Amino acid sequence: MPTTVDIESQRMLLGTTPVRKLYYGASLIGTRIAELFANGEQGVWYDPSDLSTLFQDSAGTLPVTAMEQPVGLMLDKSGRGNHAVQATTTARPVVSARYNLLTQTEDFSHPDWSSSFKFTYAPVAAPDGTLTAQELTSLGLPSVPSKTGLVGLATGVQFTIWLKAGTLSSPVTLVRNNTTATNLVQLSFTGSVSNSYGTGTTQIGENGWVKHTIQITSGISPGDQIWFYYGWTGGVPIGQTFSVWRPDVRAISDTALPDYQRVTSATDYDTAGFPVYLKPDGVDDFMQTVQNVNLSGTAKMSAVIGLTKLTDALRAIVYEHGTSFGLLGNFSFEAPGINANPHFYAGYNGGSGAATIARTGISATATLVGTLQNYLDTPWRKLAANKLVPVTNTVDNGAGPFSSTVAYLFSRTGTQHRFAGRFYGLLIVGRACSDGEMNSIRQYMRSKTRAY
Amino acid sequence: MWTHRTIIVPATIAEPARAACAGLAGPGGSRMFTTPLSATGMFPATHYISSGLIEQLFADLLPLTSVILAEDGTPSIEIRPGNVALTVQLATDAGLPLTEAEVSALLSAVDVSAQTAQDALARLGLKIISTPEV
Repeated sequence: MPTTVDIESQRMLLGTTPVRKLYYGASLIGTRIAELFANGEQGVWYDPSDLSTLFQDSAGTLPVTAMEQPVGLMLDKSGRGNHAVQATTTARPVVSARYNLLTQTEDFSHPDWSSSFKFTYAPVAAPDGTLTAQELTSLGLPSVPSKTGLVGLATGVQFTIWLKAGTLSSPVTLVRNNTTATNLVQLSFTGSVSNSYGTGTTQIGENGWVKHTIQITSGISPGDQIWFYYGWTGGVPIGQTFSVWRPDVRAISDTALPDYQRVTSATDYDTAGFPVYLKPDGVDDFMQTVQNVNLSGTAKMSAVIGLTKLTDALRAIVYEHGTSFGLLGNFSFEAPGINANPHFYAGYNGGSGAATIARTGISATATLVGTLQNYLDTPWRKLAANKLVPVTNTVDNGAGPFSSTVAYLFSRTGTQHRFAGRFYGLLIVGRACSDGEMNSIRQYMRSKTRAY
Repeated sequence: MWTHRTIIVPATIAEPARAACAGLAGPGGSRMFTTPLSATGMFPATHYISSGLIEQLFADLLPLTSVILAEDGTPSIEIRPGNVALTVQLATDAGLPLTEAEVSALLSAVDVSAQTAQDALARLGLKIISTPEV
């Protein structure tokens, strides 16, 4: 479609449509978002991926400069000053971009690998041509190549690793639940497998390399110790060799991200291509606004939130405007909103009592972009999550307006219904947004989460 | 500067533990031990927990329980005692009326580890008390 300038009006045209505004620069979406507040609209805008808005202390004197640092102050980018703080050090969420749960992923000789001392290691050419793969030679002690004691995993976990045969002619991969003494999924060198615990697939690479991918969808309970065997499931005979490269263990819901994340330690890992989030622990972490978020001048709000919920076991409040959405003018975002329910849900009270709207069919572990348009005085509201069909209702819950009150992140008032998961950001504007604006904020949060 | 600690205190000493942390660490140590625990996950609370990053200098005052997993997954426990003398000195400097006996009792009673909260709770057989849905 040609872009022209109309000589008479001196206006730029895209085809025949007058161009109202032209944006340029590196942060087009951010500019568009900032404009939502251009007319003094109330609301909040939290963006953990913008490290310039994060501070390790609540006074804002110590900037966050790296991943895995605590966040005591998160600035509100809307310009309304609704910054979120946490003075208690143990109650601060940390900022993170960690997705691969392993450490020392480029050095199998490190003691983090349970059987590191049972082999010798030599650099060899990896599938990408670099000398970053390692050839293991068994010392025959017995040498069982494994990573033991993986805890904190849940069903919905994926294991990947590249293998190459040496004198050990057909390396295999096994994921075992050592607590229940169950071999979950075992994958032969070039095979595939599917059973009640999950699946295993093989991707054939170049120069004899294969990539094993095992997804476990059943058979892991909280606290179980998981063992990951790479190459062989028993003692490798002395002197035999095989090669390994790029091990990765992550939630299946994270498999849309780059397929390997280098992790040396809990604080040293690659972040390029991996979305940044705040990581409340579900134990005692929460934040609250330094002042009332004053939405008392409006009965309409439009919002988007980006989050990953790791469990549906217990009700978890991600954000609550006020001490309870059961009070007039308050509202909340919850994932889930009821114990053991696979949904994303918003609570609100326009004056006629507590009410909720829920988008069901979203089981943890799930990353979602949730949007809510709630017009109390119309009345009309729409709740959406990712590309699922939105839920709407026109039930009269009272004409509002919304309230002016302190808001809380990651729990109700810091004392209950705690959220353990990932928080990618939140945007609330105290007015109705057009379809175009809603699409912009949805795409903005989609870019922050890589949810779909 | 920061180090991760999961700190679990018996309910009987939760209040003096809160006061000690707030007195020694100021706002950063305030409002700790607010999440209740019990073996059943229901009230009454037998313990309280705080878990997250604390300043290394405070971590050095506390005892430390280390869990070492053998190759076969068998855990063994090592406990480093807390630094009673330094804690007493810092408390005195901060104007906290804590005796050596009181500090020793507090440090002896708490479970402090570098484990995640979930792992520490599993080790001690405790659960976070979930509040009724309201």
